[in-house]
Amino acid sequence: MKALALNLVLATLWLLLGRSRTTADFFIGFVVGFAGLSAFSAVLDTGDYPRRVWALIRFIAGFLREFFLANLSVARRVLFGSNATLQPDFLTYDVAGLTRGEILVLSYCITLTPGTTTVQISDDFRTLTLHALDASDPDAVRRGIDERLRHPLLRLTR
Amino acid sequence: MTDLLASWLLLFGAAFILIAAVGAVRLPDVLCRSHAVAKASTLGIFSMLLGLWLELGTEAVGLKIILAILFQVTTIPAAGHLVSLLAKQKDLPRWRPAPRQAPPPTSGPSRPA
Repeated sequence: MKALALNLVLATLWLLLGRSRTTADFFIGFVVGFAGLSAFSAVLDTGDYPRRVWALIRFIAGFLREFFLANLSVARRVLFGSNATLQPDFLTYDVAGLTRGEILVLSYCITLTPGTTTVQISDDFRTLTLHALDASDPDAVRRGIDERLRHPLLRLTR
Repeated sequence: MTDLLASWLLLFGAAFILIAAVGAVRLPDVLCRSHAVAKASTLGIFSMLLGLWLELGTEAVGLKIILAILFQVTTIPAAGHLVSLLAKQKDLPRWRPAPRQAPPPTSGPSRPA
């Protein structure tokens, strides 16, 4: 948190010292400040801030890729697939060890990634009920969520 | 160049919104339809607003369109989630694949969840 504030201060300083003041300049200052902070992270006591920023970038990039693939598969299914090949069913996904914020982000990402939507979060915040278009192999669906969403998310938050 | 990219993004977004509409007609039940509508219309609005942003340029609009994208992208999946949650709680009829698993070939609400 302190490192994030320091990074914002650096970006603002960059803005004040530069000739033009646009949104793009602010972001350039932010990136330059981040490079400085991660280069001197040992002396500046930034903690795990650089690692978390990288984890955030990786998570967003991975999520956008999944989101795009999900849309291509939905498009193929809607335009060319026949309903006879669907195997829609509910399945449960275990989220017992996660905090509420993590469950929120995870369930949101599940809705936007291939083949699954979140239907219900149990009252004790331990299981999610999902709906999958192809539920013939529920374990494969769970493994896919583990690999593509849960592990990058946990690298970001822990 | 920017014009061309913006036009392609608008076209792409419109195509995905069309796909969402076709999906809402073609897929068999509420829960399956929410898949198509939540995903395809989110990407559709996302890329249409991105195209608009490229077309207008940052001097004119700044980060307002980015904020609009953020709101759309966070609210559409929440709406899809609510629709499917309601469909589960109200126990709306679910479409089942006809062969193999269910011996009585009833087409209506065959199995409560």
